[in-house]
Amino acid sequence: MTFSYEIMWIVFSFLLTLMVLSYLLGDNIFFRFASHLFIGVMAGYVVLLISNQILWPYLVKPIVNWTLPGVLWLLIPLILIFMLVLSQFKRFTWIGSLPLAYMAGLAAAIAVGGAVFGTLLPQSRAIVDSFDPAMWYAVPNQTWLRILNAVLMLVGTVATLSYFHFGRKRKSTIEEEMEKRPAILEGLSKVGQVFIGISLGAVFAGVFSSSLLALIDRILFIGQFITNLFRSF
Amino acid sequence: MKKILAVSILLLIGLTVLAGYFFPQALGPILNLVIDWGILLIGTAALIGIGYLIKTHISRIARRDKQSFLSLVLLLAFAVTIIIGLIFSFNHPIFTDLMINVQYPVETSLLAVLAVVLLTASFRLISTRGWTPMSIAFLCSSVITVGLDAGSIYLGTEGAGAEILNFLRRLPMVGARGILLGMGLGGLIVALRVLLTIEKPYGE
Repeated sequence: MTFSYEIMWIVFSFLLTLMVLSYLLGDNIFFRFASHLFIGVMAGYVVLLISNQILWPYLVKPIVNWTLPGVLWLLIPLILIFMLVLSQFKRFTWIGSLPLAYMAGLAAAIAVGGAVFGTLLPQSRAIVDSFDPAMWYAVPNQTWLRILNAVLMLVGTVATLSYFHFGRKRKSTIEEEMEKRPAILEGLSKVGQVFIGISLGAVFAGVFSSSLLALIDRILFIGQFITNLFRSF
Repeated sequence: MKKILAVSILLLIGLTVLAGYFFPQALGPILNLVIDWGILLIGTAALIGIGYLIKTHISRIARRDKQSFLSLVLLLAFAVTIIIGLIFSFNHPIFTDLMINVQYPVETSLLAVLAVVLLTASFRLISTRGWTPMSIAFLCSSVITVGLDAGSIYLGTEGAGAEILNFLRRLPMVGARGILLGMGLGGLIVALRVLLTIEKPYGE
């Protein structure tokens, strides 16, 4: 019983692998079949996950356990959830702006905290730390190398940042010409392009190596399956 | 009235969470409550999204669209997963077998397809964009990184050779730091625009 159950899953995995890999020959019905099956299973999994990990502990459990303060505190999210569900009907679309405003406010505030404390401060600190003289003299005969490294880090970061535009989109060509950036910034952004290219190239190489490993894993799996199939006859 | 109410909710929640960063002791319990309610709302929004997906595929079947049997496959897979998940628990072998034997082969095979797609895309990038400073840097960096990871580029473990190797490994960090700072600044600007109600993602 267990044997046939295991075989069933191996055959199922083999067929799914072939269907997805068939995309290499072009978009076809087998690939679409596998992707639709995958989306269906994952959608079901997400529904179960949300029900088990979010709705049950945060909403249903406090109601089942019934304590007046606990249920009263739940009134606000219950009203917001009701509004969100109701807004899916055409007549009540307007009502959805209130729960959406709640989510937007929460997400924006979390994004501010994440950007400042998670990215801007630690990354800026790392650049500043590389100019610490104690670090320069830590290893003898490498002082100039470390100074060069720190300067390169600073110049590269500034050049990469100058490649980004943080302004709004210009409406007219006259406005665009009026708001042209200084020549030094334009020059720095050209240097920044090289640094961005180097970073993206390294990321690309990492992703390519991982995907190549996945390709080898799948080819080995197919080979093993076919070998076992022939052995069993 | 409706607009004022939405803006008030946004400001109240946004400023409470922001204040929570500076006064974690005093505002901790309120912050937890606000985040818990947010998690509930986001969970419900995700369920509504999946509801839309299911509704779209049901209407595709009802309209007898071309290849509507693919929608049937999706709905059947969805229903089977829900039923198995409800009958057994998350940790039951039947449920984990279903998840592993669908998720692992599909995701790994998609990653495998990505290897070929990435390779052709990189060649296409060079042929369409031409040899720009960025594309040259991109190509050289990816070749050197693959060489370093595979151990093909080896200049010794000590002295100048080792320093050059270290330098090559650290070089992508320079641009990555700039990209991270750029993303952080961009995210900060968008979030501040939402909090200052210049952007209204919740609708007018």
